[in-house]
Amino acid sequence: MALRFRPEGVTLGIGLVALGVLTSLANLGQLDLLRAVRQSWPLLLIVWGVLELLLTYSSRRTS
Amino acid sequence: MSGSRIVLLGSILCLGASVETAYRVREQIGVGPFGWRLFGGRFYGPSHDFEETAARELAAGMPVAVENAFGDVEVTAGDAGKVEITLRKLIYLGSEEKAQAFAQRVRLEAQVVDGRLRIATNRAELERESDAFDVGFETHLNVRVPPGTAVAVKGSHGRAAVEGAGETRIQNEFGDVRASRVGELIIDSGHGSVEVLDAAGGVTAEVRFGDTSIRDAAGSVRITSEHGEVSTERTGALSVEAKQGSVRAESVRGDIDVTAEHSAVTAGQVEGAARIATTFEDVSLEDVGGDARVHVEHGQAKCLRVKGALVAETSFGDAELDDVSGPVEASVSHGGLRGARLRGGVKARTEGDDVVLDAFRGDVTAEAVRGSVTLVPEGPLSTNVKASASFGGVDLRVPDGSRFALVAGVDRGELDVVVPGLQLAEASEERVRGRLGEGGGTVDLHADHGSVRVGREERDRDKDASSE
Repeated sequence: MALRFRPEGVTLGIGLVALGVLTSLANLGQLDLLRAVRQSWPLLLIVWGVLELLLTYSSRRTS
Repeated sequence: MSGSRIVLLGSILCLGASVETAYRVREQIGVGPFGWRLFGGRFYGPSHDFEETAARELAAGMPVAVENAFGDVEVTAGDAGKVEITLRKLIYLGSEEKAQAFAQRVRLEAQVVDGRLRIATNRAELERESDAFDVGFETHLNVRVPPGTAVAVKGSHGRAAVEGAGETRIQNEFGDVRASRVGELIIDSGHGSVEVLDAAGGVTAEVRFGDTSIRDAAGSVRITSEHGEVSTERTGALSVEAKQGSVRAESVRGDIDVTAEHSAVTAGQVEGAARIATTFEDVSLEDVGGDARVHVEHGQAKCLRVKGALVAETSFGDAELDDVSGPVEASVSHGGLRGARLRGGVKARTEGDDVVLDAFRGDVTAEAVRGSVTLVPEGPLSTNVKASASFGGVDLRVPDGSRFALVAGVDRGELDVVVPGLQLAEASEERVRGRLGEGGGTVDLHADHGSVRVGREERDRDKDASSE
């Protein structure tokens, strides 16, 4: 079955959720927001890339 | 690539670049509570200099506490019975008149509180006043105390130096710390180098970002260091915990104990025992009077001239051991072992490379996995030797005058035993059993996927050849 989603949309969603969680934790004094964002922002590129690969693989199998 | 993707990619990269830049700027540049810009804890701009002096009687044995922020603190030995204080005020205002007026509001405080003379300024009070909020000013304190007075310095954003005092405690956030000719010493330093010269008592130093140098400490020394080099010379017993910086220790009158991460460790002339553990860098240890224990992960170990027992463990790096009087236990993973003049017996195991023991004495147990074992005794061999190798050979050189019972065997390899005087009880292509001389120990050699060679020591053969 072909996967149906837009990787950039999912990435944006994950990014917004992650930013919200990190900001909330920072407001609660649990972490340093700037340091946390600096350490984790490249994960967005990885997530996006994985989603693109999944989509490509899925569409090739279907075709 | 669609437009939405280009926008998202650009947004993510912009986010990353912005966060990275903001992080670096935050670490390097700050805007202080004043209007004047601060770079690395210092004010910049036009300034004017003013000085105020004061003197106080000091009861015998009363300690002195100096507190300061944004300015240096220097404590030196002066005359007995009194404390002399010089406060240099550096006011960052363009107009000299305004700077002078402001300087008059900066007061020196010196009063006895809780049984000690507290020296400080009214900075906190001024910072609460709205018109002073926009003025940057530094207060540099020079304090002369009776020799041997107990001193405590608490500073931030400035150097702290103490000379000729007794028991000393220095706590400094940003700035170098220096202590010389003091008694018992405790240092807590945030960002800055620490230098200690000639401490009559013990030294405890906690340094987070900066190099640490301690020379001539009569008592024991304890150092906790992160992100900085540590060097000591002529100290008592030494204990170091270090991360991200090399450790160098010379002339330790007692034990040395170093636990480090990502740190090269070099230690020499240790009168007592040595315990060194580190990762991702090498260890060099020389002239140890007692036992030594070295543990290195992802690095090499070099141990020379150890009087006591030696335990050496390395991974992903070789071990080089030379001139050890006590028993040696060595374990090397993904590396080889080269030992010379190990005189108290050896237990050695390597994975991935060879075991070479030259001029050894005492009982030997050597095992090499994916490597060979080469054994050359220092003199006639009469002790127990057990050596095995897999995917490598075993080579034993036998000096004249040796006495032992021999058992040698191979699995999928050659067996070559040529020792003059050896009386064979059993000899086949895979196993040899025999005796050389009377008494002595047992020599048990075995190789799997490798050869076993037992031959006369080359030095003896050369000697015979030259006499002929």
